[in-house]
Amino acid sequence: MKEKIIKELYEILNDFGLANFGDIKTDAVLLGSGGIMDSLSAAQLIAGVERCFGVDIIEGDPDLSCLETIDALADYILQSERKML
Amino acid sequence: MMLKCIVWDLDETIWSGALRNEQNIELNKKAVEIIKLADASGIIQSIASRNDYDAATRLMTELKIAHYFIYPQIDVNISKVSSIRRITEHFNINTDAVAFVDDNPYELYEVSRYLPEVYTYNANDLSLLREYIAGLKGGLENRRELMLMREQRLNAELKFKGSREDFLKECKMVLTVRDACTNDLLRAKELASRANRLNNTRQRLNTDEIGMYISDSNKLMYVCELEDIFGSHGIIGICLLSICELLFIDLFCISCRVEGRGIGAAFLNETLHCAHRLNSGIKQAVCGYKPYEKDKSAYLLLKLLGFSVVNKGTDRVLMSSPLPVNCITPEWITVKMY
Repeated sequence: MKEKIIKELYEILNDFGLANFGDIKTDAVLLGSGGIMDSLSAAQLIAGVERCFGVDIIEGDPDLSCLETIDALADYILQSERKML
Repeated sequence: MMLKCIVWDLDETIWSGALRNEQNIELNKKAVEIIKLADASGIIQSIASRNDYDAATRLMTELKIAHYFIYPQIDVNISKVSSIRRITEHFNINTDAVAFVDDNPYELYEVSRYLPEVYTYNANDLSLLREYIAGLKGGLENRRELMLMREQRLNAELKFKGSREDFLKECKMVLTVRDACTNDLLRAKELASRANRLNNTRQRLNTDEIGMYISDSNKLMYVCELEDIFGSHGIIGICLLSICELLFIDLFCISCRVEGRGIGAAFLNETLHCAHRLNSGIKQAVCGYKPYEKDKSAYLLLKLLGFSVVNKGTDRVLMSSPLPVNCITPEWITVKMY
């Protein structure tokens, strides 16, 4: 289940060019100090997550800690989906 | 209406005749006049056409108009709606900043049906579009060149073999942050009028209102200019601050042309540090944010800087951060302060 979410997250990142670089590991820092995303790319990712998974990150996690890594984001989406069931 | 992009059809719009018939192709003089006017006014232009890509671009080059258009979408199998969506996503603009010109009533109807915010114009009557463009003042005349630099960067990024961080370092970005002067007012007003995503309140200030931040001793105004290996991008951000017991960020606007590289955070980080050095007794920075359904970039930028929500109203959120802010400028950006 988590692997499927991670696969879809890479597709979202690919949509706006962030996954063109082959070395984005699931524990690479996305948002934060030394992160590969800035505010605009983070906004695109959040919009993509909302569109694909129906999860509102800004409302559910205002500190945006789930955006630290792809792993953290996948865990957050999984938890949110379980709450919705 | 704030038009940022015009998307043109080709057959019977920019030129009379149809390319596939390979005859009677002549440029439509009224369309070309508007293309040149729009270009001089800083409106970017693209193409949405159901045609053979190579044949169409060859003809556009022969007719000496190809250079006016960026990211043309020319494909017999792609609808105009899909083309316009691709163009807006590529340029990072909203559909309500786009005009679409076509001769075909079906195409115009389909676009207005599925993209109702797009302004549609029949190629047989461009008087209103011409009137709008002719009335524009103060646009960036070299916007096409600046957008072409952006295209260069995007293409270089696609071809780069290495990590994103390595690519960003190779861009050798230099961000110059300085006090604003009166010569910057027109560009500042344009940024305040155009920027939607990286703009905390989307207030459309005029030059007099912005000018107060230069003349008033309780206010500060900073601008930032960017240079990289692709060229000089000019002023790409402004920040207006008021000083009393707290440091208020009244307005910040950053051009979306420089997206994806941490420029916004670097600029605001430096601005807040400068303002705090001048007023070291102030311990808190405050910023109002007007939620924007279409995009959360400004909110995310403030979060990146360490701002937290302190008050949430129906149409305005107040965010605050202790000073100095605790944000690190990415190492791929060299910041110079004058």
